[in-house]
Amino acid sequence: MTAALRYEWVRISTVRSTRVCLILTLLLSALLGYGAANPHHDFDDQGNELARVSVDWLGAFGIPLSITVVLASVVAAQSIGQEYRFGIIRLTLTAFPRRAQVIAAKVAFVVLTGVVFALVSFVGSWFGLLARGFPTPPEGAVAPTPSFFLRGIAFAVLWALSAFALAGITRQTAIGIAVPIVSGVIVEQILAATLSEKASWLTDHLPWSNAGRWSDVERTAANGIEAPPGLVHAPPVGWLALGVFAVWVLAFLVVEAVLFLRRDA
Amino acid sequence: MTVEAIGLGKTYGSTRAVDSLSFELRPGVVTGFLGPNGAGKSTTMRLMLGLDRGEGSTLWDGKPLVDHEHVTRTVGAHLDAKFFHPSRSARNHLRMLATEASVPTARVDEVIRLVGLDAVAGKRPSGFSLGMGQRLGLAGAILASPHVLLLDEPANGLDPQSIQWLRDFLRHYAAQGNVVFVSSHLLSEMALMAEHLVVIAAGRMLADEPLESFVARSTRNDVLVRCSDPLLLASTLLAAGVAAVPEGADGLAVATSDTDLVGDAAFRAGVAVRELTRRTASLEEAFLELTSDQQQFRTGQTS
Repeated sequence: MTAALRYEWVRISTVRSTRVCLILTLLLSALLGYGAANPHHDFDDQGNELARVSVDWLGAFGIPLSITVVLASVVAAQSIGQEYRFGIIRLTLTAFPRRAQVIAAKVAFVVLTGVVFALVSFVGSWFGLLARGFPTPPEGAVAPTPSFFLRGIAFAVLWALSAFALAGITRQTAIGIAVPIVSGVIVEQILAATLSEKASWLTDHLPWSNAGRWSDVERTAANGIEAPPGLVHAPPVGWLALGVFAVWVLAFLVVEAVLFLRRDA
Repeated sequence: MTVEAIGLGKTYGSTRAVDSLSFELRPGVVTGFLGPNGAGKSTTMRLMLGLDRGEGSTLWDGKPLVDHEHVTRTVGAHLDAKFFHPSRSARNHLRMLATEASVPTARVDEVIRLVGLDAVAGKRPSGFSLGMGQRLGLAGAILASPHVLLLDEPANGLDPQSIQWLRDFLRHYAAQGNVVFVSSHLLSEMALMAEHLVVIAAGRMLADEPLESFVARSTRNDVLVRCSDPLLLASTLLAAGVAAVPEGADGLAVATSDTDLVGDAAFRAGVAVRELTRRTASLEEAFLELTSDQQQFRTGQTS
């Protein structure tokens, strides 16, 4: 197993796209964090501008990660899709005929990819805040909790795993990258809009929509919006949403693992 | 180490690509793997390595590949000249393959020099020619000095000097007590390289024997005799149970490889012999004769 992990490490660390995606994550997160921080003055009830500067610290970390996770998914999908595309999978499985070891090593590195990309994104976001002049949350700003950062990491890991599994099932890197975006941003939104009243149980269990609600806990609390129980339908948020997404990801991974073990290389 | 393929089989839809192939590869000799296009050579190699799922098994020194501690020290395979990531340098590609058996970096550099890729080792292989890809593939196969080399068409795209180098290298590698199993369409090259042949067509075994005996089985092995009275000699030979057909104005093609027999018959018949030549079929002729009705992808006739 150690050799398979070393193999994955050399594989992932010796292609240019991994480094490019990491650098892009850092830069994009800084840029998006800078934009999302959006320092502004709030107004009191009489419409007078308050002296206090309000900064969206949550948005500065959450928005960039929700976008740059796509770059983590590129690396994750490539870790299996490119092997099929360039035929390297045959070299891999010749050297490591125990396929379970190979898939386990790949999954381990996709998890690591998710963690690293999430951390890089957070660092980039902090650079964006630093550039705004707010290296620490100003008075009144809602600061991210440790739970927020942990959920962010879990979100990136699960998203990367979903891309990896889909790329493995279809043997197509592009599908691994595109399906989560298209499904999460378009397909599931349409489903939610059309079925939310008739079948909210269904729309509450869609994979990438749930993934997208990983950061909604603090925002909901910060906005002071809480729906009266039973009156307004509230989809899962935070850890619960990630739990729903995790079940989907696990299902994708099981399918991918079974196919990987049984199919011709 | 010996390699034993037992009852290998593979079906794609309704096509039986490989049908109950069994053979043994022995150390110390280069075994050539021949067959027309679509015969199932590559599929057979993939089945042996466990890359394709099918029937049968392959034992490497008496046990399956997965039971070997360091697989890359057991077998090195080169299946395609394009199996590399276009943006990973040749050296890093080999470093990656070296991890299974913890092959030291010095060996990576040694192999790079051996196959003549030292000038481009740090470059991305996206611009590699077919020949350079073959060299990189071969480098990957021999990296951990395996006991068995499995090479699928390794000479494709190589220039004549490189082919000669490959031939010498493989013969030398086998002579060290290793198993070398190599497929090639270059029959003239195979004739110089291989000592033993496994020949398949349409997934089925046609021959598994030494190259010499394979060639000797060809009906194109005969004796050409030019003489003063071919008709008289032909009837004399026929009486002795040897067939002969006219060839040219004064020649006979005698269906035997025994020149003494023809010379004696001519002497008894009182026929003056002007030429007596034993003609041996080439590997190509023997191969074509054996596989003429087995070609899956037949070309049209030129006008």
